[in-house]
Parts: sequence; C-alpha cells; structure tokens
Amino acid sequence: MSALCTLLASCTHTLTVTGRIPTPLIEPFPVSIGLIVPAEFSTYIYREKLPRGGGDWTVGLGALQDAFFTTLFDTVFQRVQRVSLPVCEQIDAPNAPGLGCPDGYLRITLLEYAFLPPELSGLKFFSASTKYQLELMDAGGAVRDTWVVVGYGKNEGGGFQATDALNAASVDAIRDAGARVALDWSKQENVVTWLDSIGRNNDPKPIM
Amino acid sequence: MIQNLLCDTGTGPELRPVLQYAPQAPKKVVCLRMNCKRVLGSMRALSAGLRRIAMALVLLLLASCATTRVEQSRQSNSVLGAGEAMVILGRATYNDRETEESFTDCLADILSQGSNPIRLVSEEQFKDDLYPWFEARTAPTNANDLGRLFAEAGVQAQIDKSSIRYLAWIEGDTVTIDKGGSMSCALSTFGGGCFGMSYWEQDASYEASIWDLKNLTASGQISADANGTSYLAGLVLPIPILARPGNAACKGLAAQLRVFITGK
Repeated sequence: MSALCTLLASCTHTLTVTGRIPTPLIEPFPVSIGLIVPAEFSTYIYREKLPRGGGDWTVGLGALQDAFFTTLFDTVFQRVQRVSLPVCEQIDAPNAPGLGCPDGYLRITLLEYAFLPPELSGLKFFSASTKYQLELMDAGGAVRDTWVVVGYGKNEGGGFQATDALNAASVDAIRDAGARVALDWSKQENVVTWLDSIGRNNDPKPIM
Repeated sequence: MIQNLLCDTGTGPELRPVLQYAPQAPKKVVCLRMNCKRVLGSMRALSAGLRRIAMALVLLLLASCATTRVEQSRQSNSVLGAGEAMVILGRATYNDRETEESFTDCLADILSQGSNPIRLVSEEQFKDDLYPWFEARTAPTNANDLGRLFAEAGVQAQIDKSSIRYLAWIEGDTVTIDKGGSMSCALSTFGGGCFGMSYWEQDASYEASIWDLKNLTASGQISADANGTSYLAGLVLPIPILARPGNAACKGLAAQLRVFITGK
C-alpha cells in the first residue's frame, strides 16, 4: 500500500468518524452542572501528512465526540445546561426560568488527537488516542480541578480498509476516555473535596 | 482431553476439514483417506509430466494440513436453558497482541448456525448496553469480580433483560513462527511466470474462559492450539496452499464450546 501511495505521489484519506453512542449505565451524580463546550470541540478536524508515503489524512472527529460527551454528561450529572461562560446569569436568563444556578461548571477540551497506521508502527493495527481536559469550576467560577484523561483505541486492518480501521480505533479511543470520565472523574481528590463542600455524595451507583 | 485433527486446505470441497473427537476418530480418519484417494484416482488420467506436478501439489496439500489440539476443563455441569443466550467477547489488551475480531466473528458465525444453534448477543450490543462496565480498561478480569459488578443493580437488570447466561472471553492470537524459501516472478514480451517456493509456519493459540452469569462463577476453560505450514509454489503461476491454523483453531474451539454450553 505504501509503495502504491509513493507511486501515486500521495494518497488522500478523508474520514468523518461515526459510531454508536452508548448511554452510560450510571446513576447520575446529584449535582447540576453548567457545561462549557468550546465551539471547536464539535467541529474538530484533524489533518496530517504522514511520512514515508503514508498519505494525507483528514479526520473529522468533532461531531461524534460532541454527541458522545453530550449523552455521557446528560447521564452522569443530574442536570446539565450548556453555557458559554462560568457565570450564573447565563442559566438564570429569562428564556430558561427556574433552572437556578448550577452547583459548578465543567469545561471539556480536546487537547490532542493522534493516530498511528500499521505502516508506521510496524504493528498490524491502527491505533488512536484522544486526550481530553476536564476543568471543574465552582459556582463562583473559580477553578477547583483540572484533570487530563487519555483514551486509547486500536483496530486491526489496513490497506483498503484503512479508513474503517481508523474509524473504529478512534471510536474506541473516545469510548475509553468516556469510560474513565464516567467512573474515575468523581474519584479525583479535588473533585471529592468539591463534592463534599457542596454536600453531595460522590459515590456513583448504577441505575436500576 | 480431546484431540482434533483438521486438514484445512482452503482449496475446495475435496479435502474438507476433518474434526474428530477421541471416540469417533477412526470413522473420521477413513473419511479423510477416501477424499485423498479420490484426488489420487483422478490423477491417473493425467500425462506423466503433469502427473509429477500434480503429485508435488498433492504432497504440498497434505503437508499443509493444520493440526489442532483442543483441551477443556470444566468446573460446573450447568448448561444453557431455553431462551438463554451467550455473548462472546474478545479480550482487549494494550500490547501489540490481541485476539483478532475475525476470530470472534468466526466463532459467532459457527455457533449461531448448524443443527444446534446458540442464541448469541453481539459483542457491540452487549458493550453498548453495559457501557462503561465492559470496556477494555474497565471489564472484569476474572469471575471473582462478577459479584462486585453485579451488586450494581443496573448491571444485573440489563443482563436479565437480555437473558444472557454465559459470557465467553476469548484470548489468544495467530502468529507466524517461521518462514523461508524464495520465489521470483518475471515478465517479458514472450510471457512471464513465477518460479520458486516460499513457506510460512503459523501457530494459533486461543483460550475461551466461560463465565456463568446466573451463578456468577467461572464454568470452565477451553483451549485450542493449531499449527500449520502454508506454501506459495511458483510453477509459472503462483499457487498458494494455505494451512489456515487460525481457521482450524476457530472450528475446533467452536465445536467444543457448543458441546460445553449446550451439553450435546
């Protein structure tokens, strides 16, 4: 494949990552969150020209990761309201009466996405990783915790199934990061302290 | 212990995979010989030169058989009840070796078909329904963890809803342990062709750990090891003669898994 790519000067691979979005089997934390999602999160496109005839890659990750984490946070927290800034007035706006101020704010950012094809790794699968940052702010907007979580996924395949394999690896990387967010975020020391400070139990329990 | 011999040439219906369990071995071996005799008989009609080439090919066909060994240990005698289902999961790891998706697909295809089909819940559906408890990083690593996981009421309810009785974790992979020979191909205005021979030996080693989700215990393990050498002979045209030990291990493991789960 690499040789063929070299012969053709370059191979261009364009992929919009798609996959199933599971609803976590987790009991919601009894907290309300103002969720801050940067605009580029849902439109993120990764571009890279790989060495040694690996071709040009364009990977649209934004739509899936936005839908995935929207579903995840909607399930993990008792109440979620998207806001653009960590200020209460946004939620108490006239068009959203009665919601009140959230207990805190959470900003999710994609720090990094990377992948490695079999041609470069020497392994027989595509691997992909996602690195997200979760920034927790209290009701006053003060940062209480910054947690970086890395998700990893891999999928066997190559040659003419390259885009399918990278799609599957990327979905797995998002799922892996999401699983850690669902199960481990509340165990972070600063998060525990924050939950205690607002009088909430931080022990997640699955729903019936 | 059960031993299987699988001759899996992948070249057509003449030499079918032969799978025998110890008590039925003689009958199945006769079947293999009959098939081989049929091939040899048809060669008599060929000319002397072609016969030599055909003989070489038949020898390669026979040499490219994969030998499979299946072993089982059982800790309980329970079997699948009416309406109950099984799920097959490939054990994910973060190293460079992992159970191939094609292997678990092969197992699922065989077990869901035949005269005694097993109701299977797909791996994707199972993982989605129980997200995030069965992801690569979060899945229980042994049956002792099931009690803790099932204490989470939502998990038990979801398993009951799907009527899943057994979970089979599949671990292992197929690796090339030896390769050699050489073959060269040439193309000219007078024609072209390939000459030479190359070979590669593969070893497929898989294990199924079966968990009983009703009793929250380990029911047993089945392992399948297959070994075979494949050839690529260049006699003007390149002729592949494939042993496919991964396929042989899949068939051996699936057959034993069916008996283990259904009791027949």
